[in-house]
Amino acid sequence: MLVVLTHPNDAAARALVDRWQSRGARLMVPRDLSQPGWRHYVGGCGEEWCVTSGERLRADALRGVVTRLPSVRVQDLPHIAAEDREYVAAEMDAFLASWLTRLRCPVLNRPVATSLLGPNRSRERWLLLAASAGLRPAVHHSRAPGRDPAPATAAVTVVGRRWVGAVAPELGVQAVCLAERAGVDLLTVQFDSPDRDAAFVCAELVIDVRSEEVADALLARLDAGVDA
Amino acid sequence: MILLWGAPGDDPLEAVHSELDRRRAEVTLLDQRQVLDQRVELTIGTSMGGSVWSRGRRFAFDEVSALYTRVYDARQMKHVAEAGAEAWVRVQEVESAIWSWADETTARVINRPTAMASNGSKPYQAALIESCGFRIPATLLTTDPDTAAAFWDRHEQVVYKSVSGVRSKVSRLGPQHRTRLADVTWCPTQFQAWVPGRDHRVHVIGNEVFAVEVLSDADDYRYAGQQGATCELRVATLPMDIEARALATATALGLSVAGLDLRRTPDDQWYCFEVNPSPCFTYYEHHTGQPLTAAVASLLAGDHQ
Repeated sequence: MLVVLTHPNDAAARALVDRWQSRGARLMVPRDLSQPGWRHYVGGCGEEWCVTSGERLRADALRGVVTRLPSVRVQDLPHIAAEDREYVAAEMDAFLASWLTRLRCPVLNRPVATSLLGPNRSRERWLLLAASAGLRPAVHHSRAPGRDPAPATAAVTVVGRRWVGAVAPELGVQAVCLAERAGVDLLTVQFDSPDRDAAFVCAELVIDVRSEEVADALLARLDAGVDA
Repeated sequence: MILLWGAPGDDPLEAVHSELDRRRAEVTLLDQRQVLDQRVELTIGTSMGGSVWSRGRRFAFDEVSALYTRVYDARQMKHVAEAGAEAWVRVQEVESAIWSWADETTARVINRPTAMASNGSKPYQAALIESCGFRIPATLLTTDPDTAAAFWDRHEQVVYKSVSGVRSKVSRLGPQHRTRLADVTWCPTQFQAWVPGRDHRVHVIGNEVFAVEVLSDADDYRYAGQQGATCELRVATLPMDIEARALATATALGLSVAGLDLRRTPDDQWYCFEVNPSPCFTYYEHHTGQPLTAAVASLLAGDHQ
């Protein structure tokens, strides 16, 4: 079974799950964490159980997880008393960070304590990492407040070592190189043009999963049974 | 220049500031309370540099040799909370820019934000602690009342605590909690087998290790006063292997200053419950006289290089 962890109104994730119906794909949303059935053990052992699309199942039945949820938002928890939503959102985040980290199946991307999408960075830190990876940064200055909007015109989607995007192949290779440096499987890399001499603008850990090519690349990565 | 980033009135920050002043070190406070009047410029090349301006005064990041952060959630500051949503966006941009520099600078940083992050999820951090050789308590996180009850029955004495860093207080389950176990269906709740023994707070500061033994009858000695319990702190000496393990754990987590919560069981097993990446060490210094502030100041000043 494949699981896509996301917000309840993520239409692209729903389409991905529909596309993977033959693989038993399901959505997991924050509401699932308010269902009886979760069991997660640390410092000992026991059967791990989870709840996805309202149904309880053993965690070892999972063959892969795609995360599209940076964190649980207060607005995802209308079933929780208003005064407790912020606290519950923080608790669910912290829980998911541990649970996803210890899953034995591939998790794209494997989370860190502060981001369920993986090791997130500010735009400035992406620029620095990109420069160290040999990409040409589009800007060398940043100010706060009043940061200039990123002038991106071309995007590359990285899935493992594959890339998808209407750009020069050199940019695809650069994007994959940046993802490897960042230690992530999934990455959207923005450039200021689709041409081979384009400059790097920014990167983010959420990818566009609407195309068949990306969905197939994701499936291949999950089937490979490994993640970054 | 040693840069201190935080708010006046914070005990560890003020203690370190005073100690560095006493040593005549070049030290500057970047006052977090003035965040609404601060701005940042970052330069990105082979490294990250730039400056922060606070009420017209400029601090050049390239001149900073060490940074000590004691930064609070700015929303807890009344004037920030009352400044409105637009101001809050500004605050987030400014603080994010400073944190970005703190993560990338080659200056000594106590502590880098990516290193401190593991404390945001207790079970996530516990797994890291376990990989460093400390024992951690048997822990269950569940939304299942029956599973929680079975865990309680198996371990007989069980505590519950928050999963995140919010409302972080340890309480032992008692008869009054039996009926409330049904509430766990709303959110995964963390239960831990209670570990008997004596608490130790261990501060790792650079390569130095300072241990304090805690004599208390409270479930969470930090709240002993509120629980009508007693609490006494006294200087302790750790076995050499435990001292080395504490140092290795802080190093593995990327923390040059850390507060480890350990417990030594009657059969001489050592458990580690948590590693605090921004410890309020002055509380322990006041009770024991350990030179913790001086050690942090020395680390910032580069005395041990």
